[in-house]
Amino acid sequence: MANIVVIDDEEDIRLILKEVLEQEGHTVTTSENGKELNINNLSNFDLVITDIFMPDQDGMQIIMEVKKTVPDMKIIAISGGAFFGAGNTLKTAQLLGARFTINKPFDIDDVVEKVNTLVNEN
Amino acid sequence: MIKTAVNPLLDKFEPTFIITDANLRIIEHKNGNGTIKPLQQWKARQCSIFTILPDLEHKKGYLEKVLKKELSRFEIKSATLQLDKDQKKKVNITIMPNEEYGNKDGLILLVVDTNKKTAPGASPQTDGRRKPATLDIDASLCTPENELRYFQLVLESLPSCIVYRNLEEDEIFINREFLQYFDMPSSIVPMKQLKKELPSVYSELVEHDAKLLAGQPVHDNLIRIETAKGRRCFKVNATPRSNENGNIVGVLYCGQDATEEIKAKKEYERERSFLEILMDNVPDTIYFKDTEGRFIRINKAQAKVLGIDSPKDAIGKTDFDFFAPEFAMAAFQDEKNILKTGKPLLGKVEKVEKAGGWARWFSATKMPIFDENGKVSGLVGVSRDITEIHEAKEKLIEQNKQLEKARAAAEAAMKARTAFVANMSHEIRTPMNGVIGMTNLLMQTDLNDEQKEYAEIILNSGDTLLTVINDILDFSRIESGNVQLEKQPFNLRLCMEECLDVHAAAATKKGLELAYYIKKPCPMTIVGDKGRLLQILNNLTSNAIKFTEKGEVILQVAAEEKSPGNFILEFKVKDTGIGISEAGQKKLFQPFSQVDSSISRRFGGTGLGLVISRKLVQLMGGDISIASKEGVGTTFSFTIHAEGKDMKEFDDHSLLASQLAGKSVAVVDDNRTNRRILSLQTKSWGMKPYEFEKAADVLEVLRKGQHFDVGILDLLMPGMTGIDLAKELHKHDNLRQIPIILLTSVGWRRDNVSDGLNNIKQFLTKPVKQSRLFDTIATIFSQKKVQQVSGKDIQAMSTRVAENWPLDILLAEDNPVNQKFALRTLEKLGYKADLAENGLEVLKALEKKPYDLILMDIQMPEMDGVETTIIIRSRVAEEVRPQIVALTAHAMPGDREKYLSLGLDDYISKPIKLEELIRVLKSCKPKNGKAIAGLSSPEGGAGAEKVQEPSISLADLKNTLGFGEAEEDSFVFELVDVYIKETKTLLAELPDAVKSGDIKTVCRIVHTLKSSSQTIGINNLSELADEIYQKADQYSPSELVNVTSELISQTEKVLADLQKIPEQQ
Repeated sequence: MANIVVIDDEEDIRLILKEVLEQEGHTVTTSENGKELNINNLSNFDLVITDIFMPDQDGMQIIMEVKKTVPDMKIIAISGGAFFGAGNTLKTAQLLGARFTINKPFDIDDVVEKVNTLVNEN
Repeated sequence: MIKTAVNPLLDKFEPTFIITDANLRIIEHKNGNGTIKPLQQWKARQCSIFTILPDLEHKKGYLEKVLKKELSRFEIKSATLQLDKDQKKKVNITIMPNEEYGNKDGLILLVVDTNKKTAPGASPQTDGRRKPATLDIDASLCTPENELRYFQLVLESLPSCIVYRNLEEDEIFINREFLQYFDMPSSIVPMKQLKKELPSVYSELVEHDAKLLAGQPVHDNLIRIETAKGRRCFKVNATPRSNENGNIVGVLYCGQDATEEIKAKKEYERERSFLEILMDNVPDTIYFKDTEGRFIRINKAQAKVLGIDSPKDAIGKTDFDFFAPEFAMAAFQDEKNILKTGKPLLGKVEKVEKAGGWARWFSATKMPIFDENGKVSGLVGVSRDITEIHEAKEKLIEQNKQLEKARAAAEAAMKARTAFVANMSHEIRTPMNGVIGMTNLLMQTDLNDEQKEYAEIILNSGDTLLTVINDILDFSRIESGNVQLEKQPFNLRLCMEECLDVHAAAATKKGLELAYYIKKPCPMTIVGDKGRLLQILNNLTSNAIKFTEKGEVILQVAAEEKSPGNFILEFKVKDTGIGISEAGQKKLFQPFSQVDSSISRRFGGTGLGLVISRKLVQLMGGDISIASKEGVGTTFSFTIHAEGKDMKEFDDHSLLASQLAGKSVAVVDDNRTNRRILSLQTKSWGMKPYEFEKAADVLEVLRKGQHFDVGILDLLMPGMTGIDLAKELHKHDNLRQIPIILLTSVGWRRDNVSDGLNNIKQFLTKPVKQSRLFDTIATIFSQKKVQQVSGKDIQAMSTRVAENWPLDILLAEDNPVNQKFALRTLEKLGYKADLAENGLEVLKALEKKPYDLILMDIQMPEMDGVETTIIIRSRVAEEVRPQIVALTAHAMPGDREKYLSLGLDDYISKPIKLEELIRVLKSCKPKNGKAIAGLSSPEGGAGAEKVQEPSISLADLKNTLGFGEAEEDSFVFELVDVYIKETKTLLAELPDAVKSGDIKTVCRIVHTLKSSSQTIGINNLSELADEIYQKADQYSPSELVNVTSELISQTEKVLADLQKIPEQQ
């Protein structure tokens, strides 16, 4: 139903989310660092799910750039927490544009619920 | 009777001599007392000795030995002498080698009647040793004559030198052996004569007369005399001889030539002393051993090592007597091996140990000694004490080990540190982004001025901090090997242009010129990490701009093909900036150090950019270097290894280059480098550039009558600007039509000053992209042509075509001129085609509209025609897929098959011919399924493409170019004119290039000729030229001369025809 892109440096997370969401009937594209996303193809997606703490590209930056490019893009932010303490990471992500935030380790039902909520919005 | 104590042979007896040759045949005889008569016959008959002495048969072996002189004497008693058939006699025979008569290679037999008591010897001798035989002598047979004769025989046979001095006669007898040493006619010499002629001999003989005449022998006397054989030394025994009264009547001198012996002894002594000196003075230990390993001889050094006083004390002993048993055993094994195999041991390093702890290191060399039969008879060893060297070496090895450990530890520590940083990257960066993001949000809220100011400061600090963090993280990730380079194809030129785009504004702000140049030949498509390459270029360019106050920053790239498809690309970023000192250059690539803190304060920056760039360059297989002079400028160069394709030998765009060919262009720019780049670029398109630093210079030249086809003017020039020049040119009728391209800087705003200056055809922003410039110029020259495509005949193929055969057509073409041409042509047929500039756009367009036909240019940037086709075929269902027709400038046999195999449905060559287009259109079925009754295709309109007749007519030309008959001829004439001029120039260059074997130039000429001929439609010429171009490097020099001569003559014919064309009207 919806075109979703999942960005996370951990392969397991990507696989799980892809499995789960595809079972829900969505089309899922996965990316390790979001590099494949650009101005042209971003508008193809309905929902962006991104991890925050990643070695290659910063998830926070991805959120900001997505917002800049496609302002009404729906974004869900995932975070596993930080080595030095999460601080206000998820809160910041929300203020910057993530509609929902999810903590790792996540509850699959929770993820599905949030995704469906956003997707069914219009 | 002669008595003698010495020589039994002097005993008297009376023999008969028989002399045989080597085959034991009788060749001579000498009678004794005549008792054996038939000797005469035997000699005459040369009969074998066995005939007369049959007993000898049994003794053949001994006879052989005597013949070979292994036996000096052999006796047989009571042998049978066969006088004749009946008569026999018993004789005693003494057999000796013949050394006197004739060939001296046979035997002498002394035969004596046994009845006479004169048998010499008792039994045959069997072992070859001289046994002094005692003789029974019958005194009655001893007559003086016999005695003397026999005496003489013996004397002559002896190998010794004999002189008998007859005191009574005062004369000497010299035997043959001794006579060889002198030039004397006879063997008997009176003493008086001897004294005169051989005084030295005389004096030696009489030297010891005192003793001799008193009866005392003098033995072992060494005399030296001059002889015919030189100075000789003899060992002489002199024995006096007395008569029966006891008076001394003679002296017998027996001597041996001892010269050689003495010489040999001397030599031997000398060698011995050399060996002694050598052995005892060489510091290395030398030892000789026998096959049992016992010392035969050693030198002093070895004696010292063994711990003995005298070398002699070692003789007979072995290593086991001196050294620790383990060492002795090992050495023994080595030596056993040498003795067995005969192979030497060279330079073996061994630790020699003695009981009690003494140990030193030696380098030992042991060689076998061979006897005269080639068997190993012992060995000689030489060992050198290398203890100090060895210990030093060991120490060094140990030290190196330690150093290595320390280095590895330090490296590991460093790696661990950077790995830590790299792994913590997200921890560091994310909060930073959070800060920046939030601050941005904050700034979007209502803030008072004070709050705004604070927020801005927060933002700036945040940005700076983020840059620092990113750089550090990037650096650490590269350091710890966490960075993977991408391998994707990208366009090199676009990459360079992207880099310039980023910095154009900054350069303009500082008033700097910014340009780039790609040296041909160069692959246009590179496979690599475009992002990282850009990172490096951006870093270097921004540094260049940062450190340059006036002048220019130029980017350059050159390619070298290392192996097919693999290149080394060398990039250079040159600036005319403040430069860097030698000391500064050294510090440059070190992390965390900037050249000079004062400079850093002035210009800002983290200083990590260069370090990262270098790391990246190294990852790409190359290295980065700097050349700089303070006050003059700096050039950073770096190389990368990459795969590349789509070689551009020279910048031609085939179809259109011919239209630029030969056109003169005025390049006006106060910046020298810019002028150069523009000159090189336009030249590579076949144009003729003329450089001018000042606008005034151009006017000067124009006034003198020179003409230019186009002018490229820099806008901002000191003195007269580009616009001023354009204005000036516009004033004059004859100068107005010179088309002008003005080069402006980023941010320059066009005001109305330039309005009304219709000679300015285009404003281009610097840095000027090659492709843009080319297209602009090409457009200028082709505008006329495009406008003139209209004519009576084309009316015939009217818009009815589209009515009857409606199709949705998409044109994929990036070249603006080609676009215009193709769209126009389609318009004539009534089609309003859509336009896409590259493959991506095609795909996008397809998503919006299901086209019937896509006219796909093959060579497009971003995604080319083939790739696009493949994607379309894979994504779009068969039934709804459009017909895809390739547009290509190459029209070669096999192309159709090639494109069909690549997935295209058909292909048209450029320039698009009307009937080709119609053919293709016909093959498309419109989606709406409207049945079509036949296309009222005006096949006559454009005319079928004829094989070019030898003479070219105007009509044909117009045909080929797609003009109707009503078309204006002037454009055709112009085109022909250009072609003629250009071709003439090419032909002029060709012979020289061929002669000098300059294949590259030949190719360029031929290629240009091919494409311009193709445009005009002179296909046979273009085909010929193309063939030469394809096969250029396969030709032998003579073949090349032949084909090019053919081409030249064909071309000249064509030119001749073409020149007649204006007359045809």
